[in-house]
Amino acid sequence: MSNEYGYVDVSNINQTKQNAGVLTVDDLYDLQSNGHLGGSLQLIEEQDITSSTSAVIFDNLSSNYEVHFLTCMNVTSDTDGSYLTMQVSNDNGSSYRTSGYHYAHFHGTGGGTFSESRSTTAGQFFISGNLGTAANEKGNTYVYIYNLSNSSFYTSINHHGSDVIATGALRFMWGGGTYPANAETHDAFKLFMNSGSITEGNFKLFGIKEL
Amino acid sequence: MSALRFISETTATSTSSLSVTDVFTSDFSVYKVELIRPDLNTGTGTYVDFRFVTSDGIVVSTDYGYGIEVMNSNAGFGSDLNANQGYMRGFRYSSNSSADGGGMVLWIFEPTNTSTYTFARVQAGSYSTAESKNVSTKGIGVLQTTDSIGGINFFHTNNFDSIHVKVYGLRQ
Amino acid sequence: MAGKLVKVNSVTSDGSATSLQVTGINSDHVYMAVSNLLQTQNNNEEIRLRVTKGGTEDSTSNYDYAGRKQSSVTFANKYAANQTSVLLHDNVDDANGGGQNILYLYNFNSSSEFTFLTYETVEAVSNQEAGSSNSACHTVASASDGIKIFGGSGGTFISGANITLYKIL
Repeated sequence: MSNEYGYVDVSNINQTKQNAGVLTVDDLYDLQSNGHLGGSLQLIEEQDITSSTSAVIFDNLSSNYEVHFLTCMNVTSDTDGSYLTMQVSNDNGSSYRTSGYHYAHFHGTGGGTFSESRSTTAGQFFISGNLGTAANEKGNTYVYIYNLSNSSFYTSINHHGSDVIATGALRFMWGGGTYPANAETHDAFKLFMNSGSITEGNFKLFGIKEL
Repeated sequence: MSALRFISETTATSTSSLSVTDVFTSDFSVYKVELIRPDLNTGTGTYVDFRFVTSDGIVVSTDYGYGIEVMNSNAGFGSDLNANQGYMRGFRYSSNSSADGGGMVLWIFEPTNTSTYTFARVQAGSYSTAESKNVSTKGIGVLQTTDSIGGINFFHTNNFDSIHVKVYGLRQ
Repeated sequence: MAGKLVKVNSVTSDGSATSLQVTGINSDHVYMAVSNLLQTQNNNEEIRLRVTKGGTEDSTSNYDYAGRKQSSVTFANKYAANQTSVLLHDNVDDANGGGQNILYLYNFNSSSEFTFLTYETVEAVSNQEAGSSNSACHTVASASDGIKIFGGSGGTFISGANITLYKIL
């Protein structure tokens, strides 16, 4: 990276010529590309689904972030009663881990039906309620993902969502999970319905950066 | 410019207590704090607790109250709730296996306001190798004094092999 | 170039506001709203929320919500359907800062979808520390452009009570 700015990675201003202190567009792009400019919430990738999709894949994930933030909005399925789920990959999406997930979450409806859900032997994380195919039966959630890219630690998540499920009821769901079968780098993950396909939805993955 | 502003990052090893000081100021009313994969030296089925810090040091008075849901992947859920304590809790750390990792996100409200309490929202997730379960927590905590808070302290009766904290301010 | 949490709008009570309203949702993004110092002169006041459409609050009986109350003395389920507003904070003290919250707002801009939100609260209560973790839905398929927060007993928000709305780009 150019050190012409003189204000990065040095303790003293490295100014050998007078300048107006104005950064050019190229300077700004250079700084931002190297993570020295911008805010703390960095968009990694957005996927907007408008037709039937078997899975939404985020791959080629770098190790730049210790905490990721994922938003899923207006998730729609073609199968009544299906759940939005998540699996991780350690080979950039060539394959996905299909067993050994732990999760625990609370959920409850506007009609007063509350329950706990948990598993130590799941094939994936569950991050939505049982969505429906009728109009407005959609899912929305945010997910914090910890240590996804760290080879020494298990990947864990927290999530909190708001859905209208297949019964037409409003349902909250929040909780978390861990993939403890292997402490490994996960350089990809996929989102998919445990039955059927995603037909619509907006998915954004952010990194939370020290910036 | 992003509304989420990075303030500080602190790591420590071989310590039972980490104070991150001079991070809460009148610049912001709302802060986001991340606790990333605390690694205990020993211990199973315990919590990483936290307290606030003023210019006079760690607030150890029994003026904290908290209530958190404890969600276990292998058993019925529980809760941990208490008033008049010398700490808040939010990260149920369940074993000393370094791979257990996990993380916690706290939102801190009004720490420097001397007319209000200091408030916290907590959610966390981690794994316990010793107990073969994921534990997630979600809940609240309040320090019921109007002290001006400048920092936060994480502690455990057993040493942390390592601990990592990041602090962000939210521009309003 | 900038980070992706961008402030859209903010409103602060000058000590005379009986409601706080932020608008400006006009795109298909997830939005976030943060509130602090939601305190009125009434002790144990409920703090409630409605969505706005075209800048006007929607007070029709189309709000469903569900969640868990979490406090230093007890936990409980909370839920309701077909309400005229969302119960944001169950009750807040008339001192010590009132209520604070984090909301995530989904599908607000869609004219064909319901409006969804998650909300996580913490508050000063006279006899305990409390909060809740919840979700809500305005079950009308039309676009919403903001939120309005008000006291269930018509209380006046103290000076400094604030809502700030952000777009997550």
